Amino acid sequence: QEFKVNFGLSNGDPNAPIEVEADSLSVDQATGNAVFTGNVIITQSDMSFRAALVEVTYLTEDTGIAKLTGSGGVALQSGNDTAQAETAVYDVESGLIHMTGNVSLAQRGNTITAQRMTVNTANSTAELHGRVRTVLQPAAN
Amino acid sequence: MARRGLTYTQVINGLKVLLPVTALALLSTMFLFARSVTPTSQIPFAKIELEERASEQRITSPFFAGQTVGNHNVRVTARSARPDQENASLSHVEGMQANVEFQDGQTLSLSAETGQINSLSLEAELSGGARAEASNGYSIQTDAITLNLNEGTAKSDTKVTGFGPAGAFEAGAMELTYDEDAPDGRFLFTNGVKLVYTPQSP
Repeated sequence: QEFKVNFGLSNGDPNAPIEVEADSLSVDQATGNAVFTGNVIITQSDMSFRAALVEVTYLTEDTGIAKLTGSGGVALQSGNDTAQAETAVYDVESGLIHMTGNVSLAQRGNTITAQRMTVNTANSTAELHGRVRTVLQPAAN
Repeated sequence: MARRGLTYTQVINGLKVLLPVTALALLSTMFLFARSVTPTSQIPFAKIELEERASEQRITSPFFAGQTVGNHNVRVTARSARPDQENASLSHVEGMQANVEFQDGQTLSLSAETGQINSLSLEAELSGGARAEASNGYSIQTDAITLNLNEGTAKSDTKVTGFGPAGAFEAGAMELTYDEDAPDGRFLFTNGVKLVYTPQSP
């Protein structure tokens, strides 16, 4: 089943510049594909995306970046919402982040877990699919 | 009936004397008024440069061509090269250009204003601001790059700034190495990498 929540407060400009920081970058000379390794941090406006390894997939004829695929444990943070998963694919053009592999989303105290989650940075919403479970923290009154 | 005035024969006799005399006069003045053309000063070689060139055995536009162990072609050309005073196998090079042609046809061209080639260790060191441009769209600038002509590897441990299809980036160091899943070479940027990519509006 599907479950829609708000995620993050970024004004969601998919064309904001993307900054990638990592320990190292390896570029295959023949094919040109690039892999960032070593605590990779991708930031775009106020959203940050951490992963152990990020692979860059280019648009056709290398005119730019099509997708950033993070693996080895991914953490996405925007505003005060954070989400963790095993892998995540950030489709730069559409501004969608597809997270898969025991996704857990922490929002103001309660956490939601699911198998897959798609975050839309444009309208800052998130959709969770597959065995969605919510753990509500009773507010301490 | 002597005819007054100049007769034809008198004119001819006068000319017979006058013409050779003017010829002689013209001939003698030619050397006086001629521009002083001293051939030796025309050649644009300053004396100092001549001595310097002779003492250093400087050769102009030398080149080195060969194949690396991974049989990629390597070609190095320079504007001039002169041997090092102490170490014979070392030569100092100016206006250096090194081109690596990989097996798959891609190319990498490195250039620098100054450099050194060590014919013993087969290493060419490009210094004084080196640039490298690869046909896969990556181009980088750094202070110095050492290119191993035998292995076809390159290494630079000075700060590297560059541009590629993924955007502008900078890194602490750079290396061109070969391994089994990248037989045609892999650029490794290490010691911290920072890349900025601005997506074009679709």
